[in-house]
Amino acid sequence: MSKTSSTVHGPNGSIPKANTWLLRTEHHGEERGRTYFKSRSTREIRNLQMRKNISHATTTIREKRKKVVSEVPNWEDLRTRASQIKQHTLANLDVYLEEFERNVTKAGGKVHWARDAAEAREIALELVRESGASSVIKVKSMVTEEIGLNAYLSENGIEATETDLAELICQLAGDESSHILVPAIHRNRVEIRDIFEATFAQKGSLEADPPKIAEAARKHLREKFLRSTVAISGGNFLVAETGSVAIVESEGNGRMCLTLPNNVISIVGIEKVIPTMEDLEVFLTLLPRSSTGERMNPYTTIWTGRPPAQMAPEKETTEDRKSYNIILLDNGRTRVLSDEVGSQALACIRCSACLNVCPVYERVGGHSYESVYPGPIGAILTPQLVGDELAGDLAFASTLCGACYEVCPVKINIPEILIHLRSIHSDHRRDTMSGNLERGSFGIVGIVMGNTNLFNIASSSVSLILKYGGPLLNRVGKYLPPINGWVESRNLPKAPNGSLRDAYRKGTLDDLLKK
Amino acid sequence: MTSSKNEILQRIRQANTSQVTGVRTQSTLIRMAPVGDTEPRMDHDDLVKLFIERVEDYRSTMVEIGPNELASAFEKVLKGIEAREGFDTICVAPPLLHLFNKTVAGYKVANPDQLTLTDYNSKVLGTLSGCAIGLATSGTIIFNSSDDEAPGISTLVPDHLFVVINESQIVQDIVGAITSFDLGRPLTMVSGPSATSDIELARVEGVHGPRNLTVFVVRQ
Repeated sequence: MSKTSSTVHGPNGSIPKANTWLLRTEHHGEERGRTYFKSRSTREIRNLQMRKNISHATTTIREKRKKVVSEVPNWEDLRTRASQIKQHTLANLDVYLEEFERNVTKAGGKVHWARDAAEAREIALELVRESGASSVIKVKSMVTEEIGLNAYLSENGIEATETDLAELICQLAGDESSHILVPAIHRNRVEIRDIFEATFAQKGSLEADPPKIAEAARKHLREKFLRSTVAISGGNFLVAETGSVAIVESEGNGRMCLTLPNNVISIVGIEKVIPTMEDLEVFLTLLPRSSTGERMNPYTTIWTGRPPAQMAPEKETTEDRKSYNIILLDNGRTRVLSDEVGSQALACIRCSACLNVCPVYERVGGHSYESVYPGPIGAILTPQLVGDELAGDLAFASTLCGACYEVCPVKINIPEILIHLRSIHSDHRRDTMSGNLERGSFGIVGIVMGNTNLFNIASSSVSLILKYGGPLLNRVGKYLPPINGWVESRNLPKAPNGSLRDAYRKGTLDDLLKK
Repeated sequence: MTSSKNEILQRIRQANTSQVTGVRTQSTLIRMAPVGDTEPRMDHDDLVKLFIERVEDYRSTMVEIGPNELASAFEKVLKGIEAREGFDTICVAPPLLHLFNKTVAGYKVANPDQLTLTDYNSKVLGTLSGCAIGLATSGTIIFNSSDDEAPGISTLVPDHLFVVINESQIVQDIVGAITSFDLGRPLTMVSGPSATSDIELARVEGVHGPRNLTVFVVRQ
């Protein structure tokens, strides 16, 4: 385990914000707690193992997704429908959440409400304590990562074990997850074997072979499944009209957690509610195809009030009856809701299709985003959840190519939100020196581009600078303010062999294009 | 507790009233236009063929049988499975028990009523169960804890899962399929064996749930 785990900021950290738990920022000189995409990605991009693994994963899933999506002739209609359902639900979120609560209560479950991460953690801890358990098993859940649940439970003497294979790997290694769907994708099989042997498996007992490693995890976790009395899960969908909860998974660890222990606690973001079972059918068509590139994921469990019983429900005695608690979490989501452009991000169903098509994510990896939510969705969600001052730079972690928008199963216009967040960021920097300098430069660019003569002069001088000074600037530019901010993480383009306008005028367009 | 709820609901109402345009301001609860079929409607025979093809695609075993052939087909399949030391029992859903004399292919046949969690983990090799419906387009089997089925734990903990489905139980796809269920009982959707791709994206079957799925399709 060569990698040290990075700092997660707790309530006593320097940033007195309740929801900074979702940030995984490192120390950057004097400042702590905000994301530094530029410097982190400059470092991450040199990790060749990570890049190889991520590019293999994204390429493979991308191809699988394309194939299974092309099988569905009404895919675009389904996307539109899904987007409408989400927008409609968000516009009436209060109504649907109350309907969901009524139906869960009617079916024997209990609903709790948490304004922020701290409140959700406290409720969860209290529920675990009431059950008398000193350990819990967990279904993979983004939201429990967002609120830093495992660390909090551990500080309070409760051991939480992740049961998803990748989450288990990350937990044992002290790693951050690097992908929403396959969180340990930055690790290769040899590293994973070593992690297992350094923790629960005997040294020298394992081969670096995926089936052997998975088998070791099966044995290790089987014990825990059999004796745990409390499971904690997230939730993919909450159905208001019935009070049902749906969990979508592959390994069967979710079914184990929901079926075997007698107490189940779910922690779910308020944006996960949808109106009806009919709506759920739409999302169950879109999610697996977008996420793993499968027609359907191996296991989906849908229950109402109380999760699946161990034995046939009619044979249960009163003591066998499960207790079911669900915590509905805000943690910044209502703030996102109040932004007309940005609130689209709340439609996200966490499929991770946007990560797999993103040219930036594929190269810099998930850790560069320094957030529980990486990739394009992370770039629009993180700054909105924690505020521009802590993560505003993530809105610039994109080329605005739009591939993410094209594959998003709920049609979130990610480029539009990125531009919106960039304008918020630039507004906040209005009175700073660099902000003024930047605005001034763009003012000049505006004047130059508005005048033909000035534009011609400018474009030929830029060509000259690139031709004779490009290589030098690439080397020393990072020490020269004000261009260092731009050049430190980018190479200047090669000088073109003449301008398009010149070639057009001289009739040598074909020659230019051939070169 | 109530105050957190009220505060969150208050924040939501505030956020939504500050919106000025588009669908977000609608206050009436409208329903969306239908999206149509995921695929053109197929005739029944094609549907069954598609189901078989799609279930096999998950590296499951498909066995087509006639109306009275389950017992013999099951025995044949069991004989082809590698024995596992100590695992001498097969769990059979109550409505199918009459098909077998106390044993099948050398394994003890057990009623789920007589089995405990420990049994499922340490001596039950596999479970034979009916199901509610099958979805052809995605090759999915849906359980809804009905009387035809063995309990959820028995289709989850042992290494093998054997499912019997009548061809009449196969529908085209999920659209319109799950709205018809009584949600008082949990629904479990199964598409192939338990699987993971967490290590270098290499697919491995049988992480925590059954390693093998065999489906018997009963043709009329």
